Amino acid sequence: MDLFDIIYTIIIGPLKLLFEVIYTLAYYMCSSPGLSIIALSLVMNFLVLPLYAKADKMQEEQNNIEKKLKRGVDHIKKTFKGDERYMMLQTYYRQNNYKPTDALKGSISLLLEVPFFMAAYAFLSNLNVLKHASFGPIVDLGAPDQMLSVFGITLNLLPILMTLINIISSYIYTKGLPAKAKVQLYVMAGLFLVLLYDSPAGLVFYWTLNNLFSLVKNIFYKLKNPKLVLSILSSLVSVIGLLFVIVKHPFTFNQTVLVVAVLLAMQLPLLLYLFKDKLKFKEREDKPADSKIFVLSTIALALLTGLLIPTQLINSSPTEFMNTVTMENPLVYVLSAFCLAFGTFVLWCNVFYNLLGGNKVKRILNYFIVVVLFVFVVDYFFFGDNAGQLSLYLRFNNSLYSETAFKIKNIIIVIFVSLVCLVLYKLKNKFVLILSEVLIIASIILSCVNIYGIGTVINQYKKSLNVNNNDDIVFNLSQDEENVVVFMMDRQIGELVPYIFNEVPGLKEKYAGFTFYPNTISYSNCTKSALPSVYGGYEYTPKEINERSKESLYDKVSESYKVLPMLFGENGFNVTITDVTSGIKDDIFDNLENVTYYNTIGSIQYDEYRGMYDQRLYERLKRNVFCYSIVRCVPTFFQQLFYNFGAYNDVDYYYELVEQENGYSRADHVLTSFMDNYQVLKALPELTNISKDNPKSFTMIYNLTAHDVAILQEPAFEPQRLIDNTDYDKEHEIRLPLFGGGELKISTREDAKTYECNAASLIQIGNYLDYLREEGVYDNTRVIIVADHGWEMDVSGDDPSMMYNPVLMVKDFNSKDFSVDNSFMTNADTPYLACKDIVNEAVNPITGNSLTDVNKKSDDIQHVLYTLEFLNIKSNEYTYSLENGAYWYSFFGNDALNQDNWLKDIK
Amino acid sequence: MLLYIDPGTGSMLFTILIGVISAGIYGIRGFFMKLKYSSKESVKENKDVIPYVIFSDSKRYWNIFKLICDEFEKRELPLTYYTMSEDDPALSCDYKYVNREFIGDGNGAFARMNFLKADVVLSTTPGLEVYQWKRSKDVKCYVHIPHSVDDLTGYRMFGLDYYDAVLLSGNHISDEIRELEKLRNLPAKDIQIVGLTYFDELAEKIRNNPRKENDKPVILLAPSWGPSSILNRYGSKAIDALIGTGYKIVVRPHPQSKTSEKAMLDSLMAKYPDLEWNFDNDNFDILNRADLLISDFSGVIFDFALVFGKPIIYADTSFDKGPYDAWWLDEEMWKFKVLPELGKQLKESDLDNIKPLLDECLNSKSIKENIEKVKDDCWKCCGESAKNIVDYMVSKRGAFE
Repeated sequence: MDLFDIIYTIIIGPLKLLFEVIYTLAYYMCSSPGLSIIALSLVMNFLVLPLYAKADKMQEEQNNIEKKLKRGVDHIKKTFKGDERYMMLQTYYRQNNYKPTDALKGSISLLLEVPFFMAAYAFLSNLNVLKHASFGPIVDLGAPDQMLSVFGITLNLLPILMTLINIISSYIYTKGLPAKAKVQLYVMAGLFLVLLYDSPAGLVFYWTLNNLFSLVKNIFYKLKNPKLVLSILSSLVSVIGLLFVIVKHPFTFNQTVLVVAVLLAMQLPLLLYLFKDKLKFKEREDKPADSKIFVLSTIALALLTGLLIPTQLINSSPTEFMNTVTMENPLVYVLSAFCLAFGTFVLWCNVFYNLLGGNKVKRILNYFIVVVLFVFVVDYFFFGDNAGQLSLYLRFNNSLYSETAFKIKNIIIVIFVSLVCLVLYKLKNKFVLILSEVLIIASIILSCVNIYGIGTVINQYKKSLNVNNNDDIVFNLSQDEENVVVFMMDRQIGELVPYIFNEVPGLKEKYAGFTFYPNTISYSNCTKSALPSVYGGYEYTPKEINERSKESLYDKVSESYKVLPMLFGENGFNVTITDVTSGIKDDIFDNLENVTYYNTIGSIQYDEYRGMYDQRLYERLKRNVFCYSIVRCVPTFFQQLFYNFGAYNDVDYYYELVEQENGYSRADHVLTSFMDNYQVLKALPELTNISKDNPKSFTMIYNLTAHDVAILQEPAFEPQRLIDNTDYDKEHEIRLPLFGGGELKISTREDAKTYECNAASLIQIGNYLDYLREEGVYDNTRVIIVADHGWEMDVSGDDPSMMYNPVLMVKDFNSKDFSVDNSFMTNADTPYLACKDIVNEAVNPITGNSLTDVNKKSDDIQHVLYTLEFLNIKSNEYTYSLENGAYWYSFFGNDALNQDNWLKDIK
Repeated sequence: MLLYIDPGTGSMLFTILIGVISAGIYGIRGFFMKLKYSSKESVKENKDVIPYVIFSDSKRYWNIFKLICDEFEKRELPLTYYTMSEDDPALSCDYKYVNREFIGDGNGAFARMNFLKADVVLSTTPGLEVYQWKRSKDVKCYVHIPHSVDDLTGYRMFGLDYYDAVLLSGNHISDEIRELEKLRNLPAKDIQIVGLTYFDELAEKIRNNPRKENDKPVILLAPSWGPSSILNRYGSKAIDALIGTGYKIVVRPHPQSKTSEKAMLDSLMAKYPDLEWNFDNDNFDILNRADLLISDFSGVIFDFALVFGKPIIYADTSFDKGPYDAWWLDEEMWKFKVLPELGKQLKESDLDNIKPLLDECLNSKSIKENIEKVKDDCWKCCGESAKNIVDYMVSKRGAFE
């Protein structure tokens, strides 16, 4: 963000956001882009009306004083020359309390109108929902209207209509003004006709409405009693509207309630006008309102929503928020959120506060802003998010607070807070001031801590990337001697393999020689606790790790990561390891014999999809981080209003989400993190160096292709810029497994992603197997494909088994045929399977315990950990936590896919 | 099309834009004026507050201030006298208590005055706070003393507005001062009747120089200069008419005529070599000698009529009020109201036979009485002005302590 961006975001950003909310709400109500434009135009014009009225009043004052001084000024100008003339004028102006620079004052409030017009324009001109949308006689709001056809020439009607209104409006406005002003306006009207003639109909329609509003405004300004006329008109419209609603019933119940409420409210102006004498309230002593409390509260609000919450959000996972294309620091989202918050609360709230403010209004606004501040604080800190995890698009994976009881509790607390504020504000004004100040200071301190945290993580990440990119990744395989290649495919599900093999032609053939173990379990549902046993064997199941409760978790996990590299390395194998995870640093492999380490994920360059995706995400986050703060702060019954299913009132995104949510066949982007992993699998042949000179090798590749899932183009299961699987998905509504017995019916987007990425992963590894075959090293290479855990798909319902069903496929040396082995396995067998027969003593080089000990598998009970703690290991962790909804499963028997064998431990 | 706005707003913006531009030009002009009139020399700040200051922008006002300085000296009160004339007679006077200083004649002098620290400042310079001379925030009271009995609305516009007090010679012009204050919403100035030092000084001089009786009336023609002055309008016709009366005629052209209207003056002097042409630096002797003054309209007629107590004939009274404070008031200026009391007006038709007009003026009892009446009204406290002024300054300062 450069300086222009910052200023633009502060001044225009909040207004644009406001218009988006208005437009989206209108659109949500009426589903008509055209009607929504009318709503937008009305709201915008009413918003700028006080600005206009203020400017008008100031200009009138200015004109009056100029008129009053005219005789003197003319005389002085005529009588004196040079410096004396200036000195005389200066004295004359001073004596009359007039400054020629006062002209500026009038123009400020008028200049404030300009951002409103700019924001509305910026919003409407980029609105995709207008494209191909019709409205009344307008066929396409996104193109010139072409509604008039004269002698075979097609003309745009709307710009002409707009100009007509413009001219009438100018005529009324300039009545009684000199001819120069008239000509000036008519020329302007003509100019706009030429300039706007070819604009999209939606925009011209909006401008026409503005001009219509201006016309009505000008008529009202010329009327003798505009208030009465307006009241009568409002009342008339209300009566006609009510009759229409009663006779025609055009709306749903909810809409009807809202419309009738608005129509009834439109009777109020007339009633107030008629009974204003009786309604005269006791005039209180008009002491000036304390604007300090308003300013302080708005500053506190800006800091809370623009700094504290955004930094807390980004700090939860700074690297995830980093733009992988530009490598821009994710603090840019904090900056843009702060600009929006500052513009919304500190700038615009105070502008309107000062413009509208009589003392009475100011006092009410003071109270209002204090209530908003404290409700926000209470909501944010005490009604924390229980809507589950956030996606990078800031969408919660659970729906927002649906429980009525929770909402009611929130309402009660909001009312309570409002009352407390009222009492405090009335009795102890000073106390409220101090509270705001404390809040401001606390927000700043906490935000600084967060920013420091983000900065540290990002710097480390950048450093690691730099090191990484300099390395040339090479997987050295021996032409003749034994090679062992282990694919640790995070979250790849065993149960999907038969369906994918059945669906993708020729895939099974690629896996000739493999034994597939469908009956496999993992010891946890997430990488942090499941991976150690894959790397280190049974000594590192969550249960075993937790029993060594005095050692730090970091040490135990990194120990497990080192088991195989050390074992193979010490046995003369050339060892290559990639991509440590869970926050373990790669320096654990330093100084290990024969061990080379690479970070592969994200190391392969690709340009096809990345830029587009990241730019969209970047723009969306710059806007939505602030919106997220608001959602987190408003009372729960308003949340959906601001959140609307994660679109945050971005009408185009909302539209897109609705479309996406309704199906799983279309997508217009591919997740960057998927690409970062997928490209590694795809590039494996190029990264591999096979040579007679290479010694025997052990390679272990960690990859997230099946983890960071995305919609892919079928049937190739490849990423693509625009994806449409509609026909293919229809044909493959029911999927069958290779060996019979069951069916898979994908019906949600998440399931489709999971399935498609599992397929993509198997296809790419299959291609690598072909490569090994071509290079003549297939037979002397042992390949193991394993996952740390499975995943819960929507198709599996309450059945936990898929969550703990990692893929396990093994191709041993010289093995020729594809087979299925239904023996009960766990992914903790991996170390044993990898080193079987080829190392002298298959023992854990660190603990000295045997890796071939498979007795544990036949134990009656396997203790499997369910946890939501997937974040990186922290230095103060010693065991896997059993707090925050974690629990143990007891797995009995030996059929992994039978859900009856899974028993949730109840303490 | 980023800036598309509705027509009303657009037009208003346009008007305001013009306003903003002219305000901008006005502001820039002000900035350059400040630069132009700022002093290049740094202003030495005097640490001590001076109790009494007289500021004179020209040596010609010494006749106003002399008696006041004498009074301070007599009372042994310290006074500081700042002048902008290097050859101000005050500088060569022998005073013990009056500290005199030439403070320069340009912006430096005003800069010095603008940062003055003093209790009471007395001056006869109009235009305080309008021209370069600004009120210093460290001066407690600015007192104006007129240099004539004439209307103060004859000052250039706003001339008196930023003084705190005015010391008048009579009641005749206090109404117009109040009228302007009301019109301009200014705080009321402290108006005191103290007399006029300049008249006192002149009267003293008259007493000390008793005039000899003339064998025949001496008529002094002391015209002004410029196209409407007597010499330009009537020229030799007027001189011929006067010579025709047989009285002693003295012509005293305006000093400016010698440079601006040299050709006209030279030809007249060549034509009337026997006439008495008076070019004295000081006009006292000739005024003292003359029995009747014929003049255009100028300040000297008040001296002649009110102090010397002799009648006058005045010619053209056309007067452009434009640049003066009088322009703002509807009422006729005092000096025009009193002129017919002091003598007669000269019309062109009188030139054919001017003697009766001169005789009427020379002999009229009623003119004599009227002059006395006007004198009583506009010149009070005769001979006491210096004492009154110093009394006022002392009491004023006393009020601050």
